[in-house]
Amino acid sequence: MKRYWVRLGAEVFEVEMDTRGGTVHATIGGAVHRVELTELVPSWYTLIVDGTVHDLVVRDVAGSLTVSLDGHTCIAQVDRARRAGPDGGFPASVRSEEVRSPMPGLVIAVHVKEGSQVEMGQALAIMEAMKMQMEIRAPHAGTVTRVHVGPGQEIAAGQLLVTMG
Amino acid sequence: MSGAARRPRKVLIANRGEIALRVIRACRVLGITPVAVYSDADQGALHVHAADEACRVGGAAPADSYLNIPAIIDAARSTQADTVHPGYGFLSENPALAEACARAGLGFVGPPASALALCGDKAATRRRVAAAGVPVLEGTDPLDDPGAIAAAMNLGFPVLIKAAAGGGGKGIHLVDGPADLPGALGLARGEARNAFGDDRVYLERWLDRPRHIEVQIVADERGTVVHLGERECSIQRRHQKVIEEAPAPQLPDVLRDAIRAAAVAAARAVGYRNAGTVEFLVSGGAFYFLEVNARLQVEHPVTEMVTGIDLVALQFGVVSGRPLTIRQEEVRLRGHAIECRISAEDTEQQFLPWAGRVGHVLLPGGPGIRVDGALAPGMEITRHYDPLLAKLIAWGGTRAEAIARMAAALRETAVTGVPTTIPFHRWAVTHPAFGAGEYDTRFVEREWGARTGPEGWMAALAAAVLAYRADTRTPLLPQQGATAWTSAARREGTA
Repeated sequence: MKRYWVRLGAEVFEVEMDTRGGTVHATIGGAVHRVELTELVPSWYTLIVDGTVHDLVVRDVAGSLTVSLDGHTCIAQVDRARRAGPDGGFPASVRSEEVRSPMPGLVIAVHVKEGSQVEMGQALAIMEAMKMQMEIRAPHAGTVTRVHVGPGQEIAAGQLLVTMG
Repeated sequence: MSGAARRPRKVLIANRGEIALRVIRACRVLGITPVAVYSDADQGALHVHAADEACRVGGAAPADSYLNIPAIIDAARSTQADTVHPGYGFLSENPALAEACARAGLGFVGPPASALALCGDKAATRRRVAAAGVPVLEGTDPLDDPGAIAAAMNLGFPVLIKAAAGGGGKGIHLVDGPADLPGALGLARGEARNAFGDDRVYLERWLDRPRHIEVQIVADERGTVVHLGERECSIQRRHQKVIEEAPAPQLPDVLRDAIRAAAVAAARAVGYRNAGTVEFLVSGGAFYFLEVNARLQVEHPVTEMVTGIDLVALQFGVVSGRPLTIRQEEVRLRGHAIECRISAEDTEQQFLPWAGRVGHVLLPGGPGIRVDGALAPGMEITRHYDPLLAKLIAWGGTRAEAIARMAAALRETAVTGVPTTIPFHRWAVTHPAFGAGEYDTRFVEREWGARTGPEGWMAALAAAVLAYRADTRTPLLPQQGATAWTSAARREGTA
């Protein structure tokens, strides 16, 4: 028998997993469910819960677990021991002063430099991918403390573009 | 086509991806030798593998390769192709390619350069079509930024910015108020310059809850125009279609007939030749001509499924100079067809396109299912090209049957490695408003964000099951140095 603490957003679920007579049982919120998990192709699973088929895709396992369950993206933090502290000890997932690239692509232009004062929603940079251009906007008003990229640079999804104070 | 019409024997396909494969398939049926072109990023692409001959036309950036007219003409000359098929996007609507083909003595599968030039000038087309008695949507000529700001004040907000050389949703931005206009103009021009090599933009009036309905037409060299029914294309994101169906649901017959007749009148008014699409916006009981797409459309398969006509083969027939073999009264629509465009996009993040390497691919099958794709396990999706991976098309005797088949096909389809629009399509085709055929072009922005996900406990259970599997799985490494193979070999005395 194994026990997991799964954090989804603000909620933490305690899940008990056990194999009895070749069948996997999951206990959550006092209810016992019969589950089967079959790998269709690597990272793509068929999950059967109490006889109902669900579609489960693992998209990212770095840090938190990002899955697509029946087409809905869920980001979960799975722990094998209960965490201490009032917030469960989880770090804040995104630091608001970091503006990161939402997609892989090319930096077309950077409109700000170190020390620039920006308004919320002001365009910081322009990126392009697949013939589509988009503005990267300031998440809040503030001062640009560092610009990490320049025009013509190829960048990955999630790469740090601008740090704001 | 300008110059002497003749039957194509060897066709250079000036495109890539699924549409290049689609044209190659038609070539095979007609006994035409297909020639592929490729950029440095595409040497290992499926369309190259499927062709008989292939020719490199330049670097990965479209401007260096698929938009490089001299390189494409050189490729046609060096491979001794007699005809060029432009596919859609890239140079398909650029009169310069049609002209270059004519000068080089090559056939061009599309309208003549003069008709392409007219259809590319949206304002001139609108005037010509309006003169033929077709209602048109109010819009401007191409404008500079100060001109656009002044014109927007006259048209009122929201207003739509469109690329003069447009198509495929590139360079289109909906602007809600004057403050957003300068930034949006900059983005639209940037996209247009990149996609079409032309940064001219114009403005168009925005209608409330519009439906996008378009009519497939085909015209032969004598100017005989036949329509092949309409397509409903209102399920869009980023002003680009993602689901299309034929025929249009929930359209009164009077309106349907009027739109089809208007499409034929518009095609005649612009002197159209070959296969094309006449686009309309429908709002309430009124319809407005938008533009003529002077090419084969991405969504042409839904029309093929309900008419039983191979549109690419029909295009080659027109280029041969043959009169249309089908008369209007012989066009019979049978059943219903739906297409879902599967793209590498993050549906949870504003449908942003995604680059990366495709992992595994499982494609669907069964009665009435067609897949037009250029999708292979391990293929690299680069930021240079459209993120379209495949088009899933479902046909049914009724609309309900087509939807049910599509829903089943979407459940069977799996692509790993990059996020795709498959989850979006699974949601959309089972949405009650889609089922009722009652939706407009803002359906996605209204409904997609408002959907509800799985219950929390269910998601937690899924995460825990994955963790449990990782914790309890038997190691795959051989134990104590002996594998089943070596044991078997030992038993048989071969080791």
